[in-house]
Amino acid sequence: MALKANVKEAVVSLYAAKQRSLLALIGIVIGIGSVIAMLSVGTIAKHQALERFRELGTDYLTIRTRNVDQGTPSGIRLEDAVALPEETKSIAGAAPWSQGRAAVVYGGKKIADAPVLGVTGTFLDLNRLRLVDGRAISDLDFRRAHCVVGAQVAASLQRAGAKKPVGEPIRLKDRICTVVGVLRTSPKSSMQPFEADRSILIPVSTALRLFPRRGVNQVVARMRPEVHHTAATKEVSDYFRRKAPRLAVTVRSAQKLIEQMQRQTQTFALLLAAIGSISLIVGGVGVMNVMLVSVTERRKEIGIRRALGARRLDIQSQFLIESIVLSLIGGVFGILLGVGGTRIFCHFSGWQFLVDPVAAALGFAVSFCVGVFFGFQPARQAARLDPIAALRSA
Amino acid sequence: MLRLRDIRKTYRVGPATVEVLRGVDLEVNRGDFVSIMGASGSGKSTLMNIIGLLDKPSSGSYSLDGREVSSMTDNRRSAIRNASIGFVFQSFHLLPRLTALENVRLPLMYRDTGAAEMDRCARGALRRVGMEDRTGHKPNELSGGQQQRVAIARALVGEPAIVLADEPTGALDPTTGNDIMELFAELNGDGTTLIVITHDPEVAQRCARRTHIGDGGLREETASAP
Ligand SMILES: Nc1ncnc2c1ncn2[C@@H]1O[C@H](COP(=O)(O)OP(=O)(O)OP(=O)(O)O)[C@@H](O)[C@H]1O
Ligand SMILES: [Mg+2]
Repeated sequence: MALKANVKEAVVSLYAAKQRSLLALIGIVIGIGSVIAMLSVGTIAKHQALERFRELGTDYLTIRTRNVDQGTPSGIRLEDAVALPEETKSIAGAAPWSQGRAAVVYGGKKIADAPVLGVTGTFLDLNRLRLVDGRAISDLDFRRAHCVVGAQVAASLQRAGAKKPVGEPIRLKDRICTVVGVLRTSPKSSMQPFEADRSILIPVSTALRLFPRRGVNQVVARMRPEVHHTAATKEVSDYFRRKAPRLAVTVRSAQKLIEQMQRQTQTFALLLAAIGSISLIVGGVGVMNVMLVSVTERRKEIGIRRALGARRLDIQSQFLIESIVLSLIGGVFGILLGVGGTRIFCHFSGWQFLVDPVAAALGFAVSFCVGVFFGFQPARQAARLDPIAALRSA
Repeated sequence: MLRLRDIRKTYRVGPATVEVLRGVDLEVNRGDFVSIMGASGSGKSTLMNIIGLLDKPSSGSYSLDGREVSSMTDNRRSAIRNASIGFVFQSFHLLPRLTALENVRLPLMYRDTGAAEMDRCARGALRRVGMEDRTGHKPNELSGGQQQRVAIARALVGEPAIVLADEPTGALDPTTGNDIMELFAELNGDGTTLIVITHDPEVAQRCARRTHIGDGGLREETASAP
């Protein structure tokens, strides 16, 4: 028999018993809804993590000294940091930097209180920072009073009367620095330990004199492709333990951060999976119940159809299609519920909402399978009825 | 084309057994127009169900077109019911949720017939029984006689070789009953084999062969009416 006619008949007969069908649907809806929500939240979490690191790249590492004890802040020796790519297998590039803070004075007025980053020539590239004007700090600026300003600092300078920040003199502590470049604005990343837009970049050699310390306290680095973050982290830690045994360094990697974020969502997903599977079983049993009642109620119809030439298989597929249709209707509402729930979750967590088509497809597939699995026995029962006995029933 | 030999049918009711058919012999050839008369409870419907491959006799042999029916698979019996047998049930047996047209279309659903073709055939069958203006009605929106005519249309729609009609005129007024018998005669003229169960001697009168069922046996009326 044509599938279309069968589906139509299934809808008609389900509609005729709408209360019962509706009750059976609740379980399926909640079950599929949970599955969809689980998968969507998982996908969104992953997407969220990747999005956060799309600008920065997932091969990003930050290395910083831990504050161990008092006294002159110890630091990483510049040459140790610079030698990282040559001395280790896992690091492709490294940019040591130091951080201080100073009032920014322009034209006799204090215009900002900005982080002052002492950087090397590799800093911009490594952090994927770009310039809108002028040039970058290079290693040739050794101990000179040149600086590159972040987008917000440049804006403050302009407000203070500097038409074009490049070439203007600004005072940091007791030194007059000439602005040689302006950074393009870049999104703040939770992984990046500084905020480029608000910062002022000066040569690290200059910074170490402006803010006296024995070495840099931070390094950002990039791993070579296909290096695992645990290997890189270990190698870098070992390297510094060798070079500076008294120094305690912490290495953080973007990949590890992503993994942590994913682990957090996993707990949530597991909970939803548990709710989902229990509801699906409850829903499936509901579907089975509806179908069993339907078969009993429609014994006469089965007898008539058999008399008119329906084979057992025709009857079986008719009832199976009916239970599949019932489950699929539940599936559709479940998908809507799941997507809606995800929407609400995203609204409150501030994550970017998106619909995972794979999750929706899976929701369909699961509800289809529930229909087949729980509809099979009732359909078989219908098919095995003796035509005469079925015809005689009221 | 169909041959019944010593067909018996017993029912078990609690501890007792009731033998409804006690050795029925019947031979029906292609193009026959047979009536079966008998008292209520004499086993007419039981016999019809056996002839129509719906029920199985307790014993005896039944061959259809030379093939023994008892050895056929369920699928084969279903296929024969669908292709070669048209049932008009005593209590109509229409599906209450379907319209007249959909009810008539049912036998064709179990064949490889296109939707448009099914509709065409079903409308044609309804027209033959004078129900073409009630195609969209559900059974409970039809009178008993109208339901009976829809049931007849459903039996005819698949152009079966044999039509088994259990009191096809029971719910009809004499005129409409007459029309139906004329339709049957016309079908018979086209080569359809008809077996009609009836209480009405006038209906039986219009059948070429008349049989009577009683005491579990079938007896042929020998004298042919004018
Ligand atoms: N499933 C059954 N169990 C027990 N007895 C049955 C069963 N089916 C039919 N009978 C009995 O068989 C007998 C014949 O029934 P059947 O329906 O064939 O009669 P009928 O000749 O068609 O009568 P009517 O003219 O009233 O339709 C009845 O006495 C009935 O009680
Ligand atoms: Mg009867």
